[in-house]
Amino acid sequence: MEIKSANDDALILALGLRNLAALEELYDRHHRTALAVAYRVLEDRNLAEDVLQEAFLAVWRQPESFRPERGSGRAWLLSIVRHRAIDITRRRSFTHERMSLDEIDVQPLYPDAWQNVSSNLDGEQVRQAVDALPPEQRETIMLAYFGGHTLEEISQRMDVPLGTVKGRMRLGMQKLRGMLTEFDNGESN
Amino acid sequence: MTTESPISSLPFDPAVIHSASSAEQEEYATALALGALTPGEKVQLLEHTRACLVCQRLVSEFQMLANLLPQALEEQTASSALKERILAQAKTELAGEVQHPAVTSPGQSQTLRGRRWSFSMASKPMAAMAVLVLAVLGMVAWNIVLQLQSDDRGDLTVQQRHLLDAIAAGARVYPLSGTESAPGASGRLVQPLAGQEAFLLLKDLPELPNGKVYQAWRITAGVPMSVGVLASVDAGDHLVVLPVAFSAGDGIGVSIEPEGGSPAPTGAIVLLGRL
Repeated sequence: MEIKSANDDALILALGLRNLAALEELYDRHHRTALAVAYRVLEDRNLAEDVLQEAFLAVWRQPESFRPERGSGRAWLLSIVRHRAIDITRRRSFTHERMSLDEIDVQPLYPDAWQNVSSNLDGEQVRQAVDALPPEQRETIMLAYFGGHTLEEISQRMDVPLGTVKGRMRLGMQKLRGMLTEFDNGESN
Repeated sequence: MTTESPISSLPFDPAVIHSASSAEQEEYATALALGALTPGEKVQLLEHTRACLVCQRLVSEFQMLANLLPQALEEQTASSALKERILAQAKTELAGEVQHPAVTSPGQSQTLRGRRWSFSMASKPMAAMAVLVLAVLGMVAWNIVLQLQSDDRGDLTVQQRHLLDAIAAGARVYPLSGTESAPGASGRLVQPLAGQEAFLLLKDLPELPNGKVYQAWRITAGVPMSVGVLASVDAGDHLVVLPVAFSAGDGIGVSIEPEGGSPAPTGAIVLLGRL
């Protein structure tokens, strides 16, 4: 069985066939990044591994929750990890509801040309682009994405007006988009 | 503690998004994509984006960008015990599933939470096999429309078996999205690693006007080439075997054409996907 040559989407489908080799391959491919995400959120190694275990088993139990038309299998898996980790950090917040796998929106609506760009980029390029952001824009984006903080919470943490948070978020993402598109254009050429 | 904001004090007012500047629209999109909204704000903003194509594209674009952020982190190596625990737990659960397979009835809609299946279902009627195929592909809520002539029944069973074999052997799966002509439709192309065929799964196709058929296209270097008329395919959900293999970079489309098909697409395109 050529599981190693299957793409992530096919691996997830194979989980529905109760194929353990597919689960192992998914783990081997993605656990390092998944652990990085969990650790970034939790800053606790043991908790991060617990989250990973929970996430991979959730994928094993409910592969049917994955919808390829809404995003890649890798992004779906990493979103599960991130949401589970954020759930733990915000367990004391009564209004933060634990999301079921069906509710996790990797890509809310539909893919567009940007998907081709993202598939050409490697971690080093993404890291460079993020590191090149002005510190306040980077912090705003990271507090939202990895911290699970709302705009209001970020505004309070950074002690800046809400409008400033919104602007930094927009400008940071715009810059990121610009830099990563340049990287991709460089790869294409 | 975070509290829900009443609409009037939302950081964004969905009612004015349409007249917002492009900068404000991008602010909405980035906040949504990064998950920086409270649950109530998210619901209201998503409600708006469902009807606003501009905001849809912005949110989709920024969501894809946000999904790259994990790649910026330094990878971490987990303990070897973690992998062993995960696989051991999965094996234990699998053993339990094999011992206690779920009982399913053909045509019954299934929920997959806690579902257990085993390959003992291979001996069940064709309709149950069809449901299994759809369940495997995460589409258990689809009801395959078995509008078959009696002499087609054997073929469909063979097709379903081939599909399962292809997935087990590492077939690649590509999504198809509904276009403006059929926004509720979707599909999946399952491309086996070897061979000269592909499987096309279609969901929620709209009803065909009289005298029209669905036709599939392989799009290579921007040029659509007919893969064939999808006989017996009308509204709803279907599994079709296409007599061609698709390659990386190809596109796939489904359009509505006159009876008998067309040499090139002339009608509304309902589904598009790209490998």
